[in-house]
Amino acid sequence: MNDVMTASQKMDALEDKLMADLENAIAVRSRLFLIAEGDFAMPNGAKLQQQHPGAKMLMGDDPRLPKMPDKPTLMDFFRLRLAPPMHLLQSARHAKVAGMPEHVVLACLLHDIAVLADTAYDSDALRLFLIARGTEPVIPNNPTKAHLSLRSPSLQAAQSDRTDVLPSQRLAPHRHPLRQARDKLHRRRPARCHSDLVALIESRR
Amino acid sequence: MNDIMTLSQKADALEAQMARELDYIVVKSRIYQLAEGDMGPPANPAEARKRNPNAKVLMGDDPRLPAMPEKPTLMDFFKYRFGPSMHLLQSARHAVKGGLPEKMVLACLLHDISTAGFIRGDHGYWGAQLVEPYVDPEVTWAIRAHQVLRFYPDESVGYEYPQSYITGFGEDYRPDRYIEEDYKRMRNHKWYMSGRMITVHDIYSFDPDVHVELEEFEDVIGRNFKQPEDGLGFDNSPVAHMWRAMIRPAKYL
Repeated sequence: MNDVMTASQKMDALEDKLMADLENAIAVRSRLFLIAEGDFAMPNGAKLQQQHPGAKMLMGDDPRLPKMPDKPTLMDFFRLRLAPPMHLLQSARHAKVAGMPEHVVLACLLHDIAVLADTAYDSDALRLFLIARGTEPVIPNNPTKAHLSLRSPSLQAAQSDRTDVLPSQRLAPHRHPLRQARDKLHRRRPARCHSDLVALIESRR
Repeated sequence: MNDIMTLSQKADALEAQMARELDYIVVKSRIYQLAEGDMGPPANPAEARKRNPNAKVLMGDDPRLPAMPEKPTLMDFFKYRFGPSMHLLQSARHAVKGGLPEKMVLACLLHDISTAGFIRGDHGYWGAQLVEPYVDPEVTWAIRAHQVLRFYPDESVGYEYPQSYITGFGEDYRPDRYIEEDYKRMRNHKWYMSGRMITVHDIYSFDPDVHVELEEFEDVIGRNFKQPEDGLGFDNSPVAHMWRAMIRPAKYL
């Protein structure tokens, strides 16, 4: 046998290891995950079963992953499924130190869970909430959205409850804890969608 | 050095080769990683950049995939993203022959689009969510229900528990609790029989010798699927990002 395995031998070896890890179950990868690797093959469950007599398709818990409780909580997902969340924890602490209200701290804690487990597509309401309170959101931009549309249902929903201003936001700008540290926070110009939102809010006042 | 590389060495070598060839860095989404049983930390693009300083993370179109039009239609997804969809086409034709109304023909045509193009697990729920803004609510409901109803026989229409499930999952397989609970709710729903009809036309639609063209259903789609003017993925709908995920499945952020 050659000391360098052919591609198909490698695939076989990899598959055998996979089967062993899966306790003789067959895991068929979803189309989305395959095309994310540029792979246009479509796995055929029946054929895979013929190749591995006795093996069943994976329908229950995945033995390669930590067991989840029957009634999983958000904490369980942090512990047992998400990638190391240090960035999220730091972000939440940063918000807490800056005196943000608890629901904003929570928003910071969760803002990237889709990355850890598309960013920001549900963030219109949060952006608006922050802008209405004089804060510039540092949620990553939605890169495919040139500007926010008035048709967005989440924007319309958010406008209706845009009333109160936080006491900390009433401080003179030079005394505001977040303002003082702003240069260190981020130097980039406000994104276009933010300025659109500011204009939108001004026009509604 | 061993002459047989460890799996992780192979993976690294493959990744390095890919980065050299592609000049961009593909970082797997966490869920793709988990689906392979990999609980490790995500790949670090900075590491890959050390090997190829010109490489960028993938933020635009994926050069490995067929280009999509700027305003993609449902037909474009069938053509450029979904896997072989003969089962869906056969199922839709079977529904036409069974005299089902047009919207149910559409439901049969779309019932498995999540396995064809998106995520397998809970494909009925994902599929229903993908089409919800664009179809009759009954179609959405039926697509969601078919995944559940497949596990439960209904003698009144001659639907039996599929032999392929016995072979695939084992004789002692029992559906998950959420499936059982959804079944109880769905069984009493006014649209139960619509979901059931998908399962009826589903089961007979795996014939390798029957060839059906998508164009056969172009008019059914045109009349029953509200194709958004800006294209699927760019219409600001609550599910637009899911269609974008299929357009650019490896997008970094």
